[in-house]
Amino acid sequence: MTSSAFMYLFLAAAVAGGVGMLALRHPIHAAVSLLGTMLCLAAAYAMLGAHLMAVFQVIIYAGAIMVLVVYIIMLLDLGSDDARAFRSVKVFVGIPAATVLVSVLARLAWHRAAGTEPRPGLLSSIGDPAAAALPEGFGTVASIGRDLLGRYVVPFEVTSVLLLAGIVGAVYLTGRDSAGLKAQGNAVGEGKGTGDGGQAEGAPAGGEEFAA
Amino acid sequence: MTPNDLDLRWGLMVPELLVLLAGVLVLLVDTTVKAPDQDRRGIQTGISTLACLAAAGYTAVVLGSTSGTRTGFGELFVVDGLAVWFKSVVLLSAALASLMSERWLRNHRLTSGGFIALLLFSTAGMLYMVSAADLVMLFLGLEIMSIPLYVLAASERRNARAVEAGLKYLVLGSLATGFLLFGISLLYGFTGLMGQPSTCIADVVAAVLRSAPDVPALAVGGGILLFVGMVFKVGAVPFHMWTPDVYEGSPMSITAFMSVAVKATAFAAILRVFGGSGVLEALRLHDLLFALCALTMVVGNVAALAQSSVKRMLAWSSVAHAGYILLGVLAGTQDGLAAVLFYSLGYAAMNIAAFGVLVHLSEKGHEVERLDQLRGIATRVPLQAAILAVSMLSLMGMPPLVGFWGKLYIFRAVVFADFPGHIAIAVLGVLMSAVSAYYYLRVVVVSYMSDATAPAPAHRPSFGNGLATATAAALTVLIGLAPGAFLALARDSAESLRASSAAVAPAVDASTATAVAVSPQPPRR
Amino acid sequence: MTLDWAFLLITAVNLVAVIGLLLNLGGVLTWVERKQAAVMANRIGANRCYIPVPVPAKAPGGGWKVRWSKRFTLVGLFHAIADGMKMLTKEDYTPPFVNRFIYNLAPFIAFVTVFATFAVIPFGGPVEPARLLDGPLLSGIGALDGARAWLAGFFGDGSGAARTFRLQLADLDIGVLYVFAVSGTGVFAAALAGWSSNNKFSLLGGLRASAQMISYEVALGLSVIGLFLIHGTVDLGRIVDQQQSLWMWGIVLQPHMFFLFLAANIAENKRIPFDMPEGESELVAGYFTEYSAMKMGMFMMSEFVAIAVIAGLVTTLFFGGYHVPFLYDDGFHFGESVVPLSHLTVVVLRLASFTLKVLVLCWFQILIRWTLPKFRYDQVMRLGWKMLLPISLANLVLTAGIAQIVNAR
Repeated sequence: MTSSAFMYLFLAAAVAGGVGMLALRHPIHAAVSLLGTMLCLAAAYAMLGAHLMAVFQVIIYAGAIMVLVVYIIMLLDLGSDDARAFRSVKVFVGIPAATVLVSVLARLAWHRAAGTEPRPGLLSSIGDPAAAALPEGFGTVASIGRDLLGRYVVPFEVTSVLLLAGIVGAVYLTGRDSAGLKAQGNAVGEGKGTGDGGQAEGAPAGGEEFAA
Repeated sequence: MTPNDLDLRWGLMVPELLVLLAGVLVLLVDTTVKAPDQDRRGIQTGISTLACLAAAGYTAVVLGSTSGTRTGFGELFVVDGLAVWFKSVVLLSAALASLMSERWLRNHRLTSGGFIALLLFSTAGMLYMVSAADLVMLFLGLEIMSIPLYVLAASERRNARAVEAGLKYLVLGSLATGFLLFGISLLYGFTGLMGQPSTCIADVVAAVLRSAPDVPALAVGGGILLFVGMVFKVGAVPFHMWTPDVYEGSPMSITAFMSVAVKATAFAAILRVFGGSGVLEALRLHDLLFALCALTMVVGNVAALAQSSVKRMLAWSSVAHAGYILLGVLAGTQDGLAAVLFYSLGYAAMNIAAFGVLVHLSEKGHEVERLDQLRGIATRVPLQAAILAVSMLSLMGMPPLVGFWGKLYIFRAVVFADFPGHIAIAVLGVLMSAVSAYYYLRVVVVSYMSDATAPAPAHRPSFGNGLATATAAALTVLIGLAPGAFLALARDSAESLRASSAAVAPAVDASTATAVAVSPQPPRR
Repeated sequence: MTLDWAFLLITAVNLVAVIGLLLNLGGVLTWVERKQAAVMANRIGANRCYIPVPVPAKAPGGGWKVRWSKRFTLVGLFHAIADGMKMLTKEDYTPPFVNRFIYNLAPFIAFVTVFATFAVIPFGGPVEPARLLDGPLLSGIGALDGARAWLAGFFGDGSGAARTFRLQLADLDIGVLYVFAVSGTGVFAAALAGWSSNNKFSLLGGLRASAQMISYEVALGLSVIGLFLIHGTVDLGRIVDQQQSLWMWGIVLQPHMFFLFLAANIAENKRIPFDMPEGESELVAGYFTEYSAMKMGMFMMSEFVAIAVIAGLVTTLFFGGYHVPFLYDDGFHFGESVVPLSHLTVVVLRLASFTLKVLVLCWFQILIRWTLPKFRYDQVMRLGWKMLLPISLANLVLTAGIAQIVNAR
């Protein structure tokens, strides 16, 4: 009872965050409400017992992606006016898409409430948790680790190629300039021997960060 | 599951590992070899070419020697005739593209480490995608293929058009990847609905076929999204918007590589998922593909007519050729699939030859762009002009060059196929092929029948580019002279696809049986 | 569904213990910081706050009067309280140019993330409340019989068997991953504070802070993967269980990684020698330049609480958590000889052991703060990416190799 109450609380907060993201004018406010949505979803995952999913949600979405988003908004110094350009897109694409989605969900909810089966084949087993009998220990660190380094070891390792390609690509696109700047920064630092940290700030660090 | 249960058959993955190793080696050359930039460029392109050729040789000789389907690595990785064929095409294109790149890098005074390494990583991604037996592998391969290409497209980052190319490719490519991924997730959900959640391509195909003819909307939606994600990489209309700009802004060698290898890889993936097993019909994608083919051929050819830039013309022509190749998929017969394989190889040869000549004529600040820059090159560089003419005629479909045979096999397969409107679309293809004669012949006419306006630019010819161009041109002619042997090879390779999809059929019953036995609740259908 | 009152009670006790420990430790640490500075600078230090004590004195005109001459300083510990009162009562000035919502939000993010981290750290051994009042001394006291019966009843599982509880707020199988997740969210505090202040120094501080924290998070995570490989789990409770023997302590297994982990943690906490985000000599006070009163106090407080949390984490991973060498559930084991101890004694000893280790490690961090000069920004980045990261990767490879050999035998 309490847990489902918390569940609804988190889900409501997640929805509120989503609405806030769309409605708020200022990009950073929107980003913060999106962050709230992600954290609430993580909490919902945790309440469903998917602890690892919850942690990944926080580490990857909140900890990595949203940090980058906030960072970029900060660096570009976007103001409220920049968001207005998208309003027509919101109206002409967003509203029909949302209508379709909501009507599908409403129909499912209607069928569930009425206890009838939707048209066979259309998402028929969704919302029927009994149909999905999960193996023992599903979703724990151990089982996911065993899958990743067991059956899926090749995709797991091949992902490192993807990351390497990303790093090389980032260095390739930005390399020349930052290499020059870095050499300059080092020369200044070593030449004077004084802490002239501001000189070498940003560029080398920035490059490595995007690579990460 | 211990590592020993995983059947880590490293022998199957040698080409991928070779290419990756070469990529790392190329990067190391940048940091360890103290030599002038020019020598380093030579070393790096040399490593790349040799590695790709070695991998191609291994693929064709060792992996191609035994027929039949071999899987490994937890059944995620498959080597069969289809994989061997397309890997050979991709590796050959990669070898030729890295030979061509040396020239461009020299013109732009760029170090080659990153460039060549990215080219090799992209190639490795293609190899993984071609060999994917699982949608997860397919997605990973696609990403590894695409991300280096986004970067390479923007190599010349002082140039606004190059940046536009990279950005457009990145944004639209990511969108397509999103489609693909969403499609995969829907299909995964669908297999779960059918009793056994799986991303294995064979399982997905089996589940679709089992639920036919009343395939759920979930599977149809997933199939369409997956198909769209792949067709985007092919550049078929209406998912072609990026093609002209990206091809125009990228370095010439990369344009050649993209138009050839990415296309071949995407066709391999399309064939692997949708080819030969009737999934296309079961998912009701057939009519969609029909419309796609017709649109692609018409739009590609008509748009190519209006171009004054050779590079853009070739970009639109690549869209048109994607339409022809898709016809083979549409036919769906054994002949059609074999024709797709044959055409991919032939298109690689003739397109690389054409781009090789353009690279030869280019200099820094003097990229061959406009058609009138080709005026009278026959007198200036007769050999190159001849190669350009051969490749243009081949792209047009002049017998006995390889382009002719490719189109012939495709159209023949469509005519003998059995679906409504097959004659009509074959006729449309032939008509459009005739239309293409105008813009291909225009290049030949301009280069042979008008006087040179500009003096011949003084530049050192590039050995690598010359070799690549000559090889590609020789292939164009040679395959054209002996199409039967290559078609037989293609037919054998495509046979493996039929064999593997036939193997699905008994597996369907087996998996149904286990699903019923294992799941506490029998699947709904 | 009935509520599990026993579980709720234990959780409540845990919660009070953790919050109380952390808040008080945070306060005490501000004093330790001052005192340590004084000790190292050869000053007297932190002795100004006192409680006046009335002393009866002879009035000049005869008779007695009370003089408040005696000062009760308690080695300066009242400074912590005075600080707190100062922060709470000062004017909370919000500059007009800030982005109010974000500006107000940032200190709370800093505070919450630091506290939430502690939730998965086990700070005491398993407790069986039903057996708490057993033992040779207490069992003789008849007056406790009622309490004993109540404990057995309340904390039983209904079938007569006693339940065991862990002194840990959340016993999650994801353990350390949770710590990384929560501390990763802490980046937002500095970044948002710096941005919302609408001040060049703040923005620079915020940017530096987020860059530094993201950089060191990588080394932080990688440096302890070797330990996870050895223990075969990321669950902190299980990791502590396996450190029963002194030879299984992290500091014995991976001594080099202790220094790396601690260094990365101090960098995460943005303290000297990694205090570039605050950089008082160049950025005024970095990302919290525009904050005043308790909002500024929350940043400061979260920094000091983070010291305690880091100490707790290091204790858990490298110093056997709550374990006392040779102490098992039933008493000390020295080879063959056993010194039996009551359950209550064991529980208390373990709590004391954890607290002591945490205190020593807190002090050690403050010692570092007053010992080392601070880095330049590019040095911070170079250390993170070019030293700590490769070393921890090399350690991972090495540990995996050794683990493979050991497992194969």
